[in-house]
Amino acid sequence: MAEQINEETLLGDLRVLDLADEKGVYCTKILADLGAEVIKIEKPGGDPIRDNGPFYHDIPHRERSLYFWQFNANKKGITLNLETVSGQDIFKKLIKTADILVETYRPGYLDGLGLGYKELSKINTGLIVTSITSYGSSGPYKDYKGSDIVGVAMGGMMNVCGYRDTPPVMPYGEQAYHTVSSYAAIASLIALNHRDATGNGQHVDVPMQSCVAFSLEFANLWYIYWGEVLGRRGTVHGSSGLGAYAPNVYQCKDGHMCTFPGIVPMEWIEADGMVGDLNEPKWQDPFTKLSPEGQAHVMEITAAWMKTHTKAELFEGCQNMHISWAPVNTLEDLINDPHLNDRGFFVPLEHPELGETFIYPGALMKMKEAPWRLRRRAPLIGEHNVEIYEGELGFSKEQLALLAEGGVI
Amino acid sequence: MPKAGLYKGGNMETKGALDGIRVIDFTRVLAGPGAARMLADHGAEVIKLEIITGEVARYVIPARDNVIGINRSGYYNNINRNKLGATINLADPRGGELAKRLVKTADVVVENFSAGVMDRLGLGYEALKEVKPDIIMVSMPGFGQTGPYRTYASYGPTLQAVGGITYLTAFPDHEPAGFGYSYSDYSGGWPTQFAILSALHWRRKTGKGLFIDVSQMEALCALYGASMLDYSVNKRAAKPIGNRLPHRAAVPHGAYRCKGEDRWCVISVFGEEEWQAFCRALGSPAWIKDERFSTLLSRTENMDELDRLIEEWTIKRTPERVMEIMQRAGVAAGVVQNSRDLFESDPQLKHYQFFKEMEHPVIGRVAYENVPFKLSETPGGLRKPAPLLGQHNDYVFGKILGMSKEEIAEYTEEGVIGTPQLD
Repeated sequence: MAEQINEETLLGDLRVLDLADEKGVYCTKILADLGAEVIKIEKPGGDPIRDNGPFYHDIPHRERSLYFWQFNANKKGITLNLETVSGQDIFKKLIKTADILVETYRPGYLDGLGLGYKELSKINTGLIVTSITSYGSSGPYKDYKGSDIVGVAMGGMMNVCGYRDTPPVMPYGEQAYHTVSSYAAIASLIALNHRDATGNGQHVDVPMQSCVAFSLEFANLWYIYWGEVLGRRGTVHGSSGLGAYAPNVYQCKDGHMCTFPGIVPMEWIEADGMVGDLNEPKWQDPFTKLSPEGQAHVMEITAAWMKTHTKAELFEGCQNMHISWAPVNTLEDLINDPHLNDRGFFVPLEHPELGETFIYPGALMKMKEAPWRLRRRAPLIGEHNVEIYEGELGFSKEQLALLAEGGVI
Repeated sequence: MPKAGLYKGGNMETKGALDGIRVIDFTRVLAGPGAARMLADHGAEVIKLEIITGEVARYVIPARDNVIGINRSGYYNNINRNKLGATINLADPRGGELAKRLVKTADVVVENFSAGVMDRLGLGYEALKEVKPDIIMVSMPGFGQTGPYRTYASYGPTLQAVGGITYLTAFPDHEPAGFGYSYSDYSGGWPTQFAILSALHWRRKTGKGLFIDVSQMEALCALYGASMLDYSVNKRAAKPIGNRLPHRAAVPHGAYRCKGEDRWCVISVFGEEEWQAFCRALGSPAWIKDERFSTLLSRTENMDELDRLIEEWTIKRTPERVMEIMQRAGVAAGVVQNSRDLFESDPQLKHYQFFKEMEHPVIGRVAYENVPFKLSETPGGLRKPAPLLGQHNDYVFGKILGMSKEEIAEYTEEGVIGTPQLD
């Protein structure tokens, strides 16, 4: 059983079964990080995600995929072949003690194996089954294939990223997968609250496309209210409205800086002798300086001045003047960021089998009473087979050997 | 007041999973209000407290008929639907006292002021815990409650910059692009939702509430997959990669120009089997047998040339047609849809009733973004439009706090409570 962590985590009394691919692997990670005992169920031989790079020291190895490590830390792992009758039988035993099942198969796949929500809820009426799909469990596109880039495209996110004179650009870091996984975790937890009140589980149908389309701020509203499409405008923000507004981002001495166009540290620019005509009274008027023409003029002068200062200088200097500019941080900047480090965002995690400790990105939230923790590195293939199958389901060593030879585990 | 059942498709009869939970929402603009909206969509009674002139989102575009007005912002309306609204001057100690009395009746508090502001208002966690020992409180400003940036201000674009996604979302050797909107307001709201929903479960078990410190910057930094580990393990810092996937056998992988004005289709092909399907979908043109494309490694080396040849094919077809041909062959492809596509023509979103109309007392009938997932037993959904300014002052101060009409009038007179503006 789980180690003694229940009292210190929000979800420590829950068991989650994880049948998720890239679309949903972050959903179960969120639940694991909140304390749930998440059991990742992999095919015998290991989950296909283990083939995703990058790898430890760039040498492909199913136990050394950094992609797998990142998304499966804090989980346990067992192997099970759901396409065998014996595997299905074992899975049903596991369902009895599970609270949430998260799965990402194509619609109808688990039903075909006799493991759909209907069947499973007969075994465990409190079970919550969360199905994450590219488009949804029903509807005309339900059998269409998806991927992260297809998710950001079909959900409307990609159309608002990039420049007019470049192709649409994909948001970095698989944001469609992160988006649908986040909403799947939220939806599962909403269902959990219903179960806490009534004892009843339910089926949760989470389409990647609509989750992305739900997270577009102005884009849908421009169309609903104005009949206008918000397209690619570089770093011009949707809050500016229609028209030739100035971009947010400008070069500075050592990189780029994100500004609030029109709102600039006038006194500082003046002290540096680069203020041009911006000290004329008309630039005190917010409507003048925030109009498209005003922004263009203010930012032309400001951009020349910005080249004489570093990101760090501009960030601290502007924030101290209550101007909410910020540096365009690179990944190295983030790793070295004094604020993230002061808050302990980066967390060391030991990989005992390698005798090494690596730095992982850490907590989504800080809670004194029930701390977010990285408790264990991602499971090795079948690492918890003995604990679960022998210790919990009561199979003997001989039975486990038979099941392994038969390709069930 | 809008009449119950006036609007098409609302879920008035459906029991929400969070029925009986009361949330006091001190947040403004998007990240916090969006998080509280999710709770409201699923039945929680969310009471939004605003300054007496109305929060800033009431002035954010787009407005109905392009007429700016306190109750006309589509931005505010979409994000605050299903909530109750009351106006209160928290800078007046009597206003703070009313807020505290409200918290006493509530389960959850959400706020997104910069660190220290709630304490200065006398509404910090310790003060609220005194009146409601099991209160669940989330503070979720840009930078959290501790650390050198804790008092810094932010808005979506600067958070996305400081959080790294502006730099990383770009083509190599091109200026940073990032998002044309505030994605970080969504990602920043997710941990708030995880925390509240988990804490409600925990409270049921333990009887205890807790304080949750969320930093929207960190919420964004958690979304780069293996990139931070790649730095820690392999000393490699991620760089902008445009539409390609480094470390993955994904060729081709990109957005291709199609027939029409600024029309694009993305295609992603993983591994050998999908490549074969992709070749068949293209009609197996002669060039595809070229040795530059015959193996995964040669394709990877010649990606630019491959992309150019693919675009020669896609440019002759609409993106919808390209998607259909590819999907029929079993290749993941999708139109780069804009909001007109989403709203007008996408049959899948229609099937899920992603856009749904409700009647708003001032701006009339208008569409909203519906709950993006379906819970089979407690679907939640759209019940009522966003509150007019101070629309529920009488309910909140009279019914919940038990203030008399005279008291409310006096407080309103003295500017502690706002005057409702219902047009």
